[in-house]
Amino acid sequence: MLNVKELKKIYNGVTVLDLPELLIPEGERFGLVGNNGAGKTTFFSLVLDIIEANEGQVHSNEKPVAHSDHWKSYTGAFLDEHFLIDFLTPDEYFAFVARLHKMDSQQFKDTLARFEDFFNGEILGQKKYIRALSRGNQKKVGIAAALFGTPGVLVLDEPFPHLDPTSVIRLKNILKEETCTMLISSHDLNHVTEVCQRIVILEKGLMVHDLRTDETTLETLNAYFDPIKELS
Amino acid sequence: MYNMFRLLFTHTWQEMVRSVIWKRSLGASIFWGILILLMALNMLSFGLLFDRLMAEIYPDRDPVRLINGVLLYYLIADLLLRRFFQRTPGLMVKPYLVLPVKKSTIIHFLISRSLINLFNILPLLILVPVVIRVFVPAIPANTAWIWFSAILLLMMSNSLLHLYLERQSGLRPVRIAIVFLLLIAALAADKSDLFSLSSISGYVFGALLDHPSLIIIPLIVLGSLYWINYHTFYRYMYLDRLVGRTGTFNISGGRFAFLERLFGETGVFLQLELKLLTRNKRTRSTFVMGLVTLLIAPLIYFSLSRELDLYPRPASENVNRDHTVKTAATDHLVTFRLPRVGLPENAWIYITGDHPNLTKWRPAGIPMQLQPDSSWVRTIAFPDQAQIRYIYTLGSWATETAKGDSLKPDTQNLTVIADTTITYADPQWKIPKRSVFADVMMIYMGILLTGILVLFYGQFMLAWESGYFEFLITRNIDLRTYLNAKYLLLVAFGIVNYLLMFLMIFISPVIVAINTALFVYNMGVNILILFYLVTFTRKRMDLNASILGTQGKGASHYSTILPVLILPILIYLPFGLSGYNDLGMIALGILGLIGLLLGKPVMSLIVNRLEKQKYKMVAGFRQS
Repeated sequence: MLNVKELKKIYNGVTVLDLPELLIPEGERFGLVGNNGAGKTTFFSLVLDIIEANEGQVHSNEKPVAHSDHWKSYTGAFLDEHFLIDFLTPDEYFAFVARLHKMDSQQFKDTLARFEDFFNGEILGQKKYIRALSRGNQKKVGIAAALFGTPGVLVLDEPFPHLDPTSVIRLKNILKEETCTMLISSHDLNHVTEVCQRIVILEKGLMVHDLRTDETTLETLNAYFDPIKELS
Repeated sequence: MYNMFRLLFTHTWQEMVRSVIWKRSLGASIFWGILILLMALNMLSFGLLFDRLMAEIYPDRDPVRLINGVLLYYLIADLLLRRFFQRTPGLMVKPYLVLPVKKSTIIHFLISRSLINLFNILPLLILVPVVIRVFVPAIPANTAWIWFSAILLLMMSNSLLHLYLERQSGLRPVRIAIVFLLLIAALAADKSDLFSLSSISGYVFGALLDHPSLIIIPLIVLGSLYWINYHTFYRYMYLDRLVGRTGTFNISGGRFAFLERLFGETGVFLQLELKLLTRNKRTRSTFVMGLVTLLIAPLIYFSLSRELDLYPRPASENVNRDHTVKTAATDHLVTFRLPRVGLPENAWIYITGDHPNLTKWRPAGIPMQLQPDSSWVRTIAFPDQAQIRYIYTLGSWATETAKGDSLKPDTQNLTVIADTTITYADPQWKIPKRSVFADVMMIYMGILLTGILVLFYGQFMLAWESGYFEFLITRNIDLRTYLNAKYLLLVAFGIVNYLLMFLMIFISPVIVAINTALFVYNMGVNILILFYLVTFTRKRMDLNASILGTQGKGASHYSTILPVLILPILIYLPFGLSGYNDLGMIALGILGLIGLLLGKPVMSLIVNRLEKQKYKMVAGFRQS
């Protein structure tokens, strides 16, 4: 589904991302972990053609992503609040996104119904603009909108922070139900191992580990990020 | 109580002095300091030179009456403008609510604090010198200072009225816009006899000068407003009430829904754009600022109308004045007569000459009288044997009767020996032209005033969306359709703007004719220029920041003025300088039409450019 080749991003002479090869097959739930500055958001921005690569390309469905629109119809993304139109109400925002996906009103209703539990009665019909919502609720709006129109590719940057515990569990269930190719970055090792089938550790722009998720993965990850181990 | 009150004001002062504005950088502080100083100096010198300025512009008007005439306009505009620039110090009292401070003290502080604002202070820089230099010499000093106090009280009343209205959310943008429009219309209509707000204003404030004891009225007004505010605040002295709306309020979502039915997908984006405009403080204020600026239009066109008035009309008393009175029995009556041929409808014919009875060569000397048979006639008495030289004009030396290819002035000679009638057959006239200077001013002001809603709002296109630009470029949104929606909206603004400027027909039809060409130019050329320029936007714009600040504005915005305002003047100049004034205006109109026709291909180029620039824009929006 996603094919990365010789991808390099350089800021002011510093290579912040260098991925010689990475293949994410269709339907894979792909997790990305790494400390701040590891290049997670940079990678996602390249996948979404928000920034320009210095070298190499990202292919989605065998076609390059850069300077092209073909991927936009099947890709849903929520990186941060820049993906929200904050002077709309959540209802208006969802209706707008539904309109972009040319959904009819029945499909629109069905899609919203799917998130009813996740929204916990705090999002829809509130007569509030998105900018007046709490951060957690803003995040819910963004994630739900990214899932609109049954995307083939879903990109979520740090979806778990700011959500209350119940919502985190509901979100994990929603993500596990999805069949689309999924790119999720997270600082929370528990959540990401629970949701993703494969986890890649980035460090200073380089891929240092590529793990299939199994019972030992969490342990490996915890060991990798343990600061005491680094000292010894 | 008194001490607490003083302490609260000390805190206000500290808040001001320690504000982040001064902390930003020394350079910026110096810059703003100099700017404020310059503005203050400007206002002060305007006040000091006011009497001379008035003597220059309106030599035959009494400056005191002139000022009284505009006061009502000023006070209304002042109240409306406060909506955008005066902030209610509501939040400031938040920390004191939980401290042992008397509620009444806080409220007295809140209300008096709101009286300290630029709107009440800056005008003093003009007002005080004007009172000293214009009023004190003309009327008793006591009366002058009472008048001054009355104005001061009314400005303070405006502050408090604003405070009250804001609390009652009575200052909806739509209502304000309507009052503004009425004000523009009143200004434009003021010259006609239909409705004159300035004579009402002159009457009201004239009465104050005649009966200084009337100052009791503004005093009562101010007092009542203070009392009303005090009681409203007393009831509402709770945090949620003070802060006002907390984000929850009625949303009439269906208001723009018809656009989708009308324009399809473009309509969806039009809706979004209209929500962007109406739901954010900065976009709203920018739009209203545009409307406010239109208020200066009547003033500017009044002053330009002399330059446009190619055929001055005589005062009716001059037309009816009797020039046939003989001072000596030997005097003779000479009747001058000429047909009306080939003249514009609004032209008036005058006769002038070297003789004192012919005003000694004043170009608009003696107006002729129009007869029912559409000839122009005037009978004037002259002494016997008078040798006179005379000529007909249309009111200025640029319009005398002329003969020959070189259009030499056709001066006539006459020796008066008996009562005679002289008919001047087949007159030829020098046809007057507007000066190039007047035209350049007309273009400059016309581009600005027929396009202000478009230019003010349009120059920040895409910067308005900097908060969700990444959403726009990662979703399946067709940028072309998206930009088309903006194009449609700007054209709609332009049409509204043009219709408002149509009111200037009260002042002179020439203004509307020229503005029509400039309007077409704005729609055809300037909108496309704006679209091109906004692809250079690199700064994130905070939609809740004040429109006065520099937040989010970049070089691309400041440089907008050059191509938009200067280019049309450069296009006009070759025509104007070679004497083809009207052709220059027509050329601008034609360029506009071409721009309208070429809109589609040019927009494609802009979309392509945007596709390439989007990375830089995202990077810029993320950084700043």
